[in-house]
Amino acid sequence: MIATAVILFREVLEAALVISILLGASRDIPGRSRWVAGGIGLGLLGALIVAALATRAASFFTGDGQAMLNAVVLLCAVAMLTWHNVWMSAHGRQLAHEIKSAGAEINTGQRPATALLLIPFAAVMREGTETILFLWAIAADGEHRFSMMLGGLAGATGGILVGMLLYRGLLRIPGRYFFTVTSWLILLLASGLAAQAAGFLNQVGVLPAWGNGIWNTSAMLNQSSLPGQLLHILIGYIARPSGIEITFYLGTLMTTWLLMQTVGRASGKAVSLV
Amino acid sequence: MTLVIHDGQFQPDKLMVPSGVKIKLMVKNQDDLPAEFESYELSREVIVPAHKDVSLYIGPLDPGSYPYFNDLNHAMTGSVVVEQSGKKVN
Repeated sequence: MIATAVILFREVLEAALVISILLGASRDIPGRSRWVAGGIGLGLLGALIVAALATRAASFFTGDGQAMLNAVVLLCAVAMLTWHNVWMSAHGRQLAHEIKSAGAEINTGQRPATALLLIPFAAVMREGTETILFLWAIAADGEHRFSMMLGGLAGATGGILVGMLLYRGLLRIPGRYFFTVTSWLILLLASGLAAQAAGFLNQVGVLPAWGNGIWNTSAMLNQSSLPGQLLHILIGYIARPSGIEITFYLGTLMTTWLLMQTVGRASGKAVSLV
Repeated sequence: MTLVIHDGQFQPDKLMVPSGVKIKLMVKNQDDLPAEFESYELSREVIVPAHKDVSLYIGPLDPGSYPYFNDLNHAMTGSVVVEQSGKKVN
C-alpha cells in the first residue's frame, strides 16, 4: 500500500508541477483554465490509449516505439513552452496591465491557447501511461486490491496537493518579479525536458551519446533522492548526463533566451531575465 | 544481451558487458506486473509491460558498475558491469 502510494505520488507530482508552473505563468490569460483542463482530459485519454496498445497490440508502443513517442511528446512540450515564454515576453506585461483596467479590449494577437492545451496534455499522457499500466496490473491482481488502490489514491492526492502549494506560492510572488520568476521556471523546465528527449532518442539509437557521463554528481546530489527528483522535474537535473543531453539542454536554454530577448525588445516590452 | 524479469527479480542481477561498444539490451518481463527498467547511471528508462519484451541500446560505456532498478518496485535492482575490452571510449 505504501509502495503504491509512493509510485502514484511520484508520477502525479511530475505532471502536477508542470501544470502548476504553467497555470501560474499564464495567470493573466483569460480562459486559461478551460484550455488547461481540456489538456489534462485529453492527456488522460491519450494515456489510456497508449497503455491499452502497449498491453494488447504489437510491440510498437513498447521499447523503441515508446521511447520515440516519449521523445516526440517531450519535444512538442518544449516547443510549446518556448512559444509560451516568447509570447509572454512580448505580451505579458501588457496583458497584466489591461486586465486591471476593467472592460479594456484585449488585443494581443493569437494567444498561446494551443500551448495551454498541449503542455498539460504532454505532461499527463507521459506520466499517465505508466500509472495506468501499473494500476491495471494491480486491479487484475485480486489480493490486496483495495488497500493498494487506497494507497494509490492517497499518493495521487499528495502529488496534486504539492502542485497546488507550488501554484499558491507562485501567485504570491510580487508583480514586478513575477514574469522574471515564471519565465526562468519555464525556461529551465523546457531545457530539462529537451535533455530528457535527447536521452530517449539516444536510447533508441537515433542520436549518438557524445560521451556517457560527462560528469557525475551522484555523490553530491543523488538523483534518486527526493531533492534530486524534484530538481530533475523542475530544472532537469541529471546526475550523470551524456554529451547529447547537455547539448540539448544548453541549446534549448540559449535559443529560448535569445528569442525572448529579440521578440521582447521588438515589442518594446522586454521582460528582463536578470 | 538479455535481461529477464522473473518472480520480482532481475536475472542475471549482474550483467557483464564489454567496454567501448554499443549494446542492444533485451528486457523480457515474465511477471504479471509491469516494470520500468530505469537507470540514472545509464540514463535510461523504459516500461516493460507484463509478459512483454522490450529492447534498448546502452553504451558505449567505460569500465565500471552501472546500477539499474525497477521504477515501479524499487526493491528490484541490478547492475550492468562493464569490463575492460582494451578499447578506450571517452
